[in-house]
This record gives sequence, C-alpha cells and structure tokens, in this order.
Amino acid sequence: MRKPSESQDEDRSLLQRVAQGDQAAFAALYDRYGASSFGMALKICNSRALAEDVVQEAFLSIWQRAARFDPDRGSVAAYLFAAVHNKAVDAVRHEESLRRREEGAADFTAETEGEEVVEAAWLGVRRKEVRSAVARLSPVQREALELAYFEGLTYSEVADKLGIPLGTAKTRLRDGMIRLRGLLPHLQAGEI
Amino acid sequence: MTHDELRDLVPIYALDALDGDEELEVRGHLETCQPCRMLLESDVQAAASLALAAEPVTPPAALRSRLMTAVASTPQAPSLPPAVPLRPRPPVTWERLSALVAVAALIVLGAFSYRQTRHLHDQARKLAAQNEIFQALASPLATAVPMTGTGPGVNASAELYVSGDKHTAGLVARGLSDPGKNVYQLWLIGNNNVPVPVQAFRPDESGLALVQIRTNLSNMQGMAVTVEARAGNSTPQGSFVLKS
Ligand SMILES: [Zn+2]
Repeated sequence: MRKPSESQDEDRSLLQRVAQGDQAAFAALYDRYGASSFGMALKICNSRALAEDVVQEAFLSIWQRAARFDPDRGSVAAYLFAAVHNKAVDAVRHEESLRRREEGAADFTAETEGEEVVEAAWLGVRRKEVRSAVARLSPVQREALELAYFEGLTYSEVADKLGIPLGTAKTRLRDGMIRLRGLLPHLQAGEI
Repeated sequence: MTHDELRDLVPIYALDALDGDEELEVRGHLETCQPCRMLLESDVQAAASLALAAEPVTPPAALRSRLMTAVASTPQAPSLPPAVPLRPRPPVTWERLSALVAVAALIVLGAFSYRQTRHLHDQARKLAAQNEIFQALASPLATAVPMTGTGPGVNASAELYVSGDKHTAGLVARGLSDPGKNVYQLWLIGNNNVPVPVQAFRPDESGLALVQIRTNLSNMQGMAVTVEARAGNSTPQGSFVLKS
C-alpha cells in the first residue's frame, strides 16, 4: 500500500502537469478524487443531476486555475474538495435547488445503495480515519458539523433548525472542529 | 467582538458557516492576527477532510466524457510568477497570502523585472493592508475567474477575484490600450444571459486597471468588458474586449 505522503506528492505532480495543459494528468486526478467528490456533492445536493453539474463545474475550475495552486496553502485533495464543496453549497443555497432537493431526496438512497466504488487503498485508509474521528465526536457536535458541512447551513441556521440558542450552535461547531483536528493524525503534515 | 470571540469563530469560518457580517469581521481579524491564521490553516484542512465522511459514489461515465470534452476547449489561466523563492519554503502567513493575491492582481507574467516585482510586492503589501477589497479577496474562499482578451482587446487579459460571500470582487485587467475618449465598461452576465452594466473605467498609462465591485455575484454566469463611446449605456453597444 502506498503511503499517504507519496500519494500527496503524486497529487502535486499531477496538478503541476495539469497546469501545463496535460489532459491525461487531469483525467488521473479526476479518477482519483471523482468518486469522493461526487459522493460528497450528492450528499449535499441530494440530486444526481445537480451533483454532476457541481462536480463538472468544480473540476473545470481546477483545470482553469491549476497554475494558481499554492502548495503552501495545503494539500491538493483539500483544495479540490473545497472547490467541490463550495459549488455544492452554492447550489443548495439557491432556492431552485432547494426545491429539487425535496424531489430528489427519495431516490438518493436507492441509487447509491450497493454501488461498489473502486478507490486507492490509501484513500480508503484515510476515509476510515476520518470516519472514526467523526464517530468519536459527541452526538451533538457531529450533528452540528453535518448540518454545516453537508447541508451548507450557517451556524445561525443550524441553531434555527435544531431549536437551540445561537451560542450553543457556535460552541458545538467550534468544539466539534477542534476535536476533529485533534483526532485526525495526518493534519499535522498538512494532509487530508 | 473581543479577541477570544473572534478566535472562537475561526473554525466556523473555515466551515464557511458564518453569516455575512461576522464573516467580514473574522476575515478582517485574520489579516492582523498570526495565531488565528495558524488555526485557520488546520481548520481548513480538517473541514475538507469531512468530504471523506460521505460515501464515495462512482460518477457516471458520461460525466467524465463531458468534463474531458469541456477541458479540451477551455483555456487555462496563466501561472503567476513566484513572489518568493520556491525553496526553502517560508511558513505560510496571512500577510503572504494577501500579498500573493495582491501581487497576482498586479503582476503581468514576465512583464516586470525581478527588481520591479519586489518593489511591487511591497506596494501590494501596503495595498493589501489598506484595501478592504483585497483583504476580502485574500480569503482562501475567494475564487479567481480568468478573462481573456478578444477583438480590439486581444492583447489584454484579466482576472476577476470573487470573495467567498460573492458580494465583493476585484477586476484586475492589463494590456488594455488607451481608449481615447471612449471608456471601458464592465458587464455582469447573470442567469438570463443578459449583460448588466457594473462600472465604467479607464486603465492607467501602463494599461492596468483595478476595478472594485460590490454587488451580489451569486448568480453570475460570466463577466465581460466592452469599449463604449460613453459610460452609462444600459446594453453593450461597442466591441467586446474581455470575456470570462
Ligand atoms: Zn486572533
């Protein structure tokens, strides 16, 4: 199995090649993170059509801006996921998509159930680490983080939705993030 | 807000879960506070790692082919000259991020000597410190939209830097010729594909223009610049010189 640090070096060299117009390198990056990105976008958008648009737009912006990536700012994966997340949240904050969400909600589970995803072993390891970290958050922290990250809610919307005071929503999100930071062993190395 | 209150909001800022006013306040604070910037870096990584908590789903093959087709016909933004030597890497600081964005905004690749670049870098730092727009655009959530020259503006290029909250943007255009008694006009292209006038401007003698934009850009489909006989036209009448 590859070590995560090697995978990160590979990511960087792929993105460098993308910056030079290398479409094969772009395809490789997409193949690496497409399923993670699409899964995340689907969870946020609850609509396959919308999630496809989101992933396409986000990856296209990566293509356009690859030369502007600053490795000092963090990992390629974080950069990429942030781009997808940003577009997905924009999409669901849009009224039209809120409506589509309701409609799409029913088939979401059905369509993703039992689907097998082939992904690199190291990515699977990383995924397990993130999930076990999330599982070790307190239930209220986990719930608040899920609402913020996967529903694109601001903390005041989180407070509204849960019927809790603003200060409580703030505390849950903040403490959840602090705990998550502490529980993710690779963050110190600037990795996902 | 007190410092502790601001610091406590940094992880929530990294999640993009602050409302407008607080987001601006935290962003402003991050400009000046090194310990909070350090927090932000790991918070941004932690937030991104949440993507892996979702079940991965193989995207349809059609998406991959659409994307590759789009890529084949989509121009890429040029790279930026390094503002600092690449190795050894200095620690990331917010000042450096601000400066990079501002330098990105100011430097034409290859058009300045290194000495001039350093000089500009200083100017850019001052600009970053003084200019609220560029502070907003130094956020990691800001996005850059490349614009390419066309028609009479074929030698021009530009980027539009859009803040995370999509309410602030800065247009940085270069290689614009002197429009004489005409003006350049920036247009926002919204959902319905109808250009809406944003602002008229003139470049400086070097062909550089910095235009600050404060408007809701959340429905922006694109931006364009035309050359117009006068400011205040409600629809484009002159030639397009820049398109996103
Ligand atoms: Zn601080």
